[in-house]
Amino acid sequence: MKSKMMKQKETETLFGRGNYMILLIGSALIIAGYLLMSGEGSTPAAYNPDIFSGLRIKVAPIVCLAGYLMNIFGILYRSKRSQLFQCFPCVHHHQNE
Amino acid sequence: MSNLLFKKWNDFSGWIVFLIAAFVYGMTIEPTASFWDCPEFISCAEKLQVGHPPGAPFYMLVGNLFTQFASDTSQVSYLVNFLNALLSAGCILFLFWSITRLVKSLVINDEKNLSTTNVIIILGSGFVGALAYTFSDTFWFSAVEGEVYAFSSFLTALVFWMILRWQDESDLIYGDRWLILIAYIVGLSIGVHLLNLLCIPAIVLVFYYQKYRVVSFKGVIAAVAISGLLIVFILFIYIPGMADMGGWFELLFVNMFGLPFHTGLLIFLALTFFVQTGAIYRFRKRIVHTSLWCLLMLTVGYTTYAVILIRANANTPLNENAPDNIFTLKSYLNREQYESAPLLYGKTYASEPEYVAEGDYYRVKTAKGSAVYRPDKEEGKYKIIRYKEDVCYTRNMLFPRMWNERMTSSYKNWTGGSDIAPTQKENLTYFITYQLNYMYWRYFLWNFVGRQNDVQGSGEPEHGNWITGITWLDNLRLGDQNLLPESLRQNKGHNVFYGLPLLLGLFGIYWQWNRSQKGKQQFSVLFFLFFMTGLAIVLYLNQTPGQPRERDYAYAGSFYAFAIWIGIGAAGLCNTLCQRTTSTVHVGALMMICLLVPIQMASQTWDDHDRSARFTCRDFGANYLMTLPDKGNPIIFCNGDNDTFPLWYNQDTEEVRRDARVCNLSYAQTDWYIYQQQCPLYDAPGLPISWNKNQYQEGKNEYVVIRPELKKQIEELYRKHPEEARDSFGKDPFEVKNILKYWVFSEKDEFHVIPTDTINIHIDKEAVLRSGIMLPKAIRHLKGEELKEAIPDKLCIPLKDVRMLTKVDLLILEMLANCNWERPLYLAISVGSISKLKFDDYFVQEGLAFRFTPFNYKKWGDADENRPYAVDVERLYDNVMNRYKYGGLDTPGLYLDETTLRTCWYHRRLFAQLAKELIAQGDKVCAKKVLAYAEQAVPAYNVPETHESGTYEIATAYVALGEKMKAILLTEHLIAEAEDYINWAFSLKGNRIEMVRNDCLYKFWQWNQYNELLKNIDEKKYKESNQRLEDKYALFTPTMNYKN
Repeated sequence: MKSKMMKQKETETLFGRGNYMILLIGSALIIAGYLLMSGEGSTPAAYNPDIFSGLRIKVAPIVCLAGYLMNIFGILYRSKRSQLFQCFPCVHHHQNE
Repeated sequence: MSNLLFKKWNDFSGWIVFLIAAFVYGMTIEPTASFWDCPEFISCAEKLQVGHPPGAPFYMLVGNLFTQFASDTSQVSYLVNFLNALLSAGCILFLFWSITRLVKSLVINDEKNLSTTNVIIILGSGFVGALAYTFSDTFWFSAVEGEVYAFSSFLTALVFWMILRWQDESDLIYGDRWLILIAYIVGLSIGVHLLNLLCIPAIVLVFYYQKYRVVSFKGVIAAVAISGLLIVFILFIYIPGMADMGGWFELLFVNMFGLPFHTGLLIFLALTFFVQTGAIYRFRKRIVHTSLWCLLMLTVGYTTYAVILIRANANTPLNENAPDNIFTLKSYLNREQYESAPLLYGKTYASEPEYVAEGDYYRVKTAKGSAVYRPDKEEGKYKIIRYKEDVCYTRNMLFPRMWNERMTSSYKNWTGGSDIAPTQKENLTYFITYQLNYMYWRYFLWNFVGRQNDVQGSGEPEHGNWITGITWLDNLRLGDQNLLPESLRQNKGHNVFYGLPLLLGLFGIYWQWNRSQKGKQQFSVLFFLFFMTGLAIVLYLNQTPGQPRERDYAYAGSFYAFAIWIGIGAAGLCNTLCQRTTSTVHVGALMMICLLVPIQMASQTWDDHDRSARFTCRDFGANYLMTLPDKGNPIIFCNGDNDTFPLWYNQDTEEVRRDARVCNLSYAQTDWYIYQQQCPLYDAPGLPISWNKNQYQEGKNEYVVIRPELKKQIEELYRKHPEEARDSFGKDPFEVKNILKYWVFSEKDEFHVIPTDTINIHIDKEAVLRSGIMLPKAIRHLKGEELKEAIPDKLCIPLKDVRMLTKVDLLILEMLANCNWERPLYLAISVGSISKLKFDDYFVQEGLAFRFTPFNYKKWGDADENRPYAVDVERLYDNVMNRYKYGGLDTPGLYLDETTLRTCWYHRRLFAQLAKELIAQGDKVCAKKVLAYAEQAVPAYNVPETHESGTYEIATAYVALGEKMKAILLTEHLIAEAEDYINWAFSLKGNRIEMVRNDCLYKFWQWNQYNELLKNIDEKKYKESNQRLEDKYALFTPTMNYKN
């Protein structure tokens, strides 16, 4: 599976532009999600039903989760170009699993 | 077969196993919340609340997604359980692929084509190992309920598989992404459970073997040491360090610059990410670059804790420790509310605190620790409220295993020690016999050899031991298993595997080790996974005896590692056969035989893991709430997991009785909980606690000393200067409100005492009459002014034999006074003694809870030695017959675990109690109706008829009603239970009889009770039974004098 043809150059980068983009979007989603989740709560004066508003407990967590999952993508993503430069005959092997 | 085709088959098989596991778990999940922490986790996921430390914020986020698919409130818990089923199936998926990877590299040597035989061996081993784990006890238990362990197991499996997968691309720089992804997942996993960090040694070893062509023993040691340091770094340096620095920034920006709370923290976070990304940009050398990426992604994964911080600030109903600022969050993360055990050097149960002289007194020597900051909302600054203090102890020892002085007698039971201080020999005995053997290896053997029953054991030979299924072997160790009482014989938790999974796994270890260097390397990796997620946890936890439940769920990771060995064992067997025969068919057949092992396991474990159709936890939680009256916003006190979380779950998620308040007394000592209880919630007002934060804050009034001698002095004062006295101390100086106002909360320190031996609560008679509390029989017939006269003026609570009142005591008194009877106050029957104050005489039982009343029913004659509590028969009847639900208990074949059974027993005993009261009142018709319903609601076929379950009380009731047939049936059944136990005890060998001697005596006593009952209804049967008892007792007494 490790081809002897291809030698890794130290200048070969770990991540490409695609990765940085996805990671950035993911992080932005995470921050946005937490902003949507924030808010005031109940006090001894009154119960605040807003703590269970749809925005805070339904939309916000999904946005956060999307951000966290997107980061997984951001790490694993591999642009087509870098794949071609890499192991040419072995490319199929890396596709599975 | 080409590699490519094999890959396709491998993928496909993995998904098959996934589907099998998903199906099995999906079919057997509990359709509602389960006992222990599950209801808490489910409510927290649904509404994003803050559960017990250290919280599981990532689990909350994922769980929340699933709960959004619920079409009605009752589906929420089902969906969370279903999430866990899917995650568990995911764990099985990655287990399969891990096994096939490992086996492939042991069996194939870089060939282009795989023979069919090898394909069978590789894929078959995956099936055997993965399915063995699927049907194993501990993993299945966690897969079908709403706890964190399924998710944690999934992440462990994922991370382990990922490092194996990384090996394919380890040379390429692209391969580093797997390492970074692993770091990210580990970061996320801290937001589920810390268990995942324990995979790190195994991961580092794989990395070491892959990267270093020349491998040495020293290298292995170094790699393991580095991985240990890595864990220590993440757990004890990085995370607490970040929290500390966040704290410094907060103090700087909030206290110094006057900015709003959390500004410092946000700036700190931004700075951290800026610095880390900057470093990544700056340092390009591969090792440094990748490591920095790993650190960054670990931190990003860890940010899920923002959920906790944000929601704590929203003051959700469930807001444990209220970690709404960085300081409280840090103590939340450190789980500071739980006692921590010493590890390398520290105290033993015999250790006393050191004392130092201070002026005229001696005080306990403490080591002053760091300052504790808390936000002062009014001033907008952080203030130091106290300093941490660690008590210094005498008589420390190395590697202390018996450190908890409250467990002294339990420790001595395990070591046989009778000396004051434990010797190192006793210490190690305890470590080996209890902590290692009983609390780990026993669980291991449950999963791979067999389990006696699902009753929690504490060392006795009839509960919860491991067995093999090989009769003579089990009987040698644990007595004749066939003689055990029926309730234990028929226990669904009885599972036997004849040791086959264990043998397969051991062979797997043997074969793997002998499989050249690669095998030895693999063995070391798996060994460290096994050790870290099993024995290392035992070392770290330093458990005391008397755990509230069995703790096998914590070690699921080590059973995962062993399951891999089981798969390898199957591969080893087939491979060995392969050397002797060229027939593919033979190998295939052997693999099929190996597959029978997990199938046999399934046949045993299915019945005690199938939780379908069981709604008991939810319904029983609702029953506690339904005991409370519908009006007046009642309050109920509880104190454990199982009498609190199901109630919270019912209120939060299923919207049951949102007009009531649940107050957990275990938390009531803390300031954050008192604050939350003061806030209104849903449809209920806050608890009537008039204290302000300064009065109940952490460190203030934790306990108040009682000085009864002051009473005389105060009475003197009132005699001599009545006007002055009243101005200073109120009209009645010993009234609760006045004691709190003028003494406990006084400005002057020397007044912080209770100056009397009796506390009064003045009774508002009108309020009592409006409240609906059951009046004592003696005055029920009175009316108007006469009735008012008869009600006492005040409630006097004696403080005899009590030396101090805790914060909780003061809280209960405060609430009693302020509730003023119209806001009903209850105590759940599951609470033991809540405080040294004795309220028992003032309780009236209405069902699963007692109501606090102003009447001393003992004095009024409603309660006596035969009846410890007064009973409100009308309310009890309404509750038990109409308002309570029984969770599908009548479904035949339902699986009830021990915790559920205990709550069923409460209900059966309530039925019996109600019947007894009705009979005493002369209403036999109603009593019969009650007992008939009891038979149906808590049926014998699901809830075995044993002494603890209340069957004796029911039998007594039947006798009183003249229902001879029913009474005889039950009594004979009970006699059989007791007699069988005694017969079994006689079959024990040697000193095992010692162990059960006391239990045997108790059974004889029970048998005698049953005989007394029998005497009244069937003379003949009584004579027979009594004769048998006397004969057996005669055989028993010699053994009683055995050691004396």
